[in-house]
Amino acid sequence: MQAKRNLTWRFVDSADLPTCVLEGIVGEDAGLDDLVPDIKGPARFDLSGVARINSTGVREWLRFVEAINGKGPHRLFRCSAPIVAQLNMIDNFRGSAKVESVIAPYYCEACGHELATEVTIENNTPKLPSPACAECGETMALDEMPARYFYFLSY
Amino acid sequence: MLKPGEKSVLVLQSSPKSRRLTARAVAATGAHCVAPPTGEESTQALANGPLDVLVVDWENAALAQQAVKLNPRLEVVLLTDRPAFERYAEDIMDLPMSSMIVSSFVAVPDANDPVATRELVTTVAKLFTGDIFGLEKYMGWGAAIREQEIRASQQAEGIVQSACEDAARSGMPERELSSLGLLVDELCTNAVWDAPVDAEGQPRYADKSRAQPVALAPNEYVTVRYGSDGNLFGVSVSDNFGRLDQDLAVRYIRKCFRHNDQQVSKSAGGAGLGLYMAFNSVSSFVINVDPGVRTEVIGLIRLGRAPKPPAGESLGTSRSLCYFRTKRPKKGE
Ligand SMILES: [Zn+2]
Repeated sequence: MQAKRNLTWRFVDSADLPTCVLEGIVGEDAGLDDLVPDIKGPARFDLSGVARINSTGVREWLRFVEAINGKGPHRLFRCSAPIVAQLNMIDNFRGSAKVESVIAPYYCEACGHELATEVTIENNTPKLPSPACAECGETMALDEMPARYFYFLSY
Repeated sequence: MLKPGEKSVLVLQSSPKSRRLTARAVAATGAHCVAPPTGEESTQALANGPLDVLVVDWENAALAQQAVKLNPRLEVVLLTDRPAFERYAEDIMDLPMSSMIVSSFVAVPDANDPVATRELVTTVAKLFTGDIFGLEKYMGWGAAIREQEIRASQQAEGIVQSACEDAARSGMPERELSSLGLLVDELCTNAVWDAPVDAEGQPRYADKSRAQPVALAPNEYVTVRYGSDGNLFGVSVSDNFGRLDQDLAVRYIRKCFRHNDQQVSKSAGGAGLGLYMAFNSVSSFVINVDPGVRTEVIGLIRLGRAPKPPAGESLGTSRSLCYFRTKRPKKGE
């Protein structure tokens, strides 16, 4: 069996901007060139479904960002942990897009339950929620050092 | 006095607690270990020689430069609780290190982390014996290691998937699974596309687009091994070329620490980011090379939580980078 790497996208109805939902793996065959003509103006990108982006995928992504930059300003939201890792690692990964929110890992010290939850970013600052643990009711906390997980906000 | 054949290790660390923990780990290898408490005694111990391995922290790193000048065969291990390669990469990479265990929690006062201790013991023992290959050296006894072979580039993704499935069964948290996927993906890509050279030493596939599948020749098959010991999930990827030299590895990783437009190569082949991304996905990254014969890259990911970093170190993370090379006697030796 040979799994095929792939990335899919679809546009969903949204109140303000056209919203594009990306899902899967951004790799050498991501085919993002095909998405460029569909971005006709400012858009929002839901990146919660991006499970992995590898080094060749980063190059594809940067090319895509460059191609659509002039049609912005765009917004990235619900950025998955792999996307956050790239935001922190790669210069210009977001281009001129604004990051509205990310998916962040939460942890319950009391029972060890884990949760991935959305954290919104306002005025370049993460608004960290304090969700109650679904298993034991204790308050959960971000399972990362904020300065590290949100490093991309510092440059 | 050293007994015949006994190896000698000097530990230069400023914190008394770190010094004790480090000396205890080093002693586990059977080596004669000296851990002097003051600068004066350190200089004395360096001058006394003979010395096989020097373990230094950041504060004593300058002494390492000096020591390697005196004894070019000396192996140096940097063991420090300085956080994040991100911040200190440039300085760290300039040191004459065999191995860097950066921000290891062996080095953090009051943290005595068995995973980090094991890694230090393994590192020192590998430097002594020259027996450098094998994922097992980093895993507890009893770990079931699975082995798969890549004969064509399209098989790599299937291996990524099965490693992730095994890791999920081993209790790896969701977000570490995506790091593991990236690790296996990048290591396989590197071994399949970048390692193979022809008889003239010219790269066979390095300049080709990664979107074009390649079928490997038998001498180019890549071996992937992975498994969990309950504390760590480990992956090793080996090729038969042994071309990843320390300078190259360090150059790639270091280049990527600089946030600038040189990070990503725009050429047709790899993006030059793979090693860096693999390194960033793990808690320990080990490169074993028998030049011209074999490269084995190992990545280790913790299944549990790492001990908390020292207060005030907001970027702190436990991460190590070790490079081992098979030494062959030079002509006339
Ligand atoms: Zn709980």
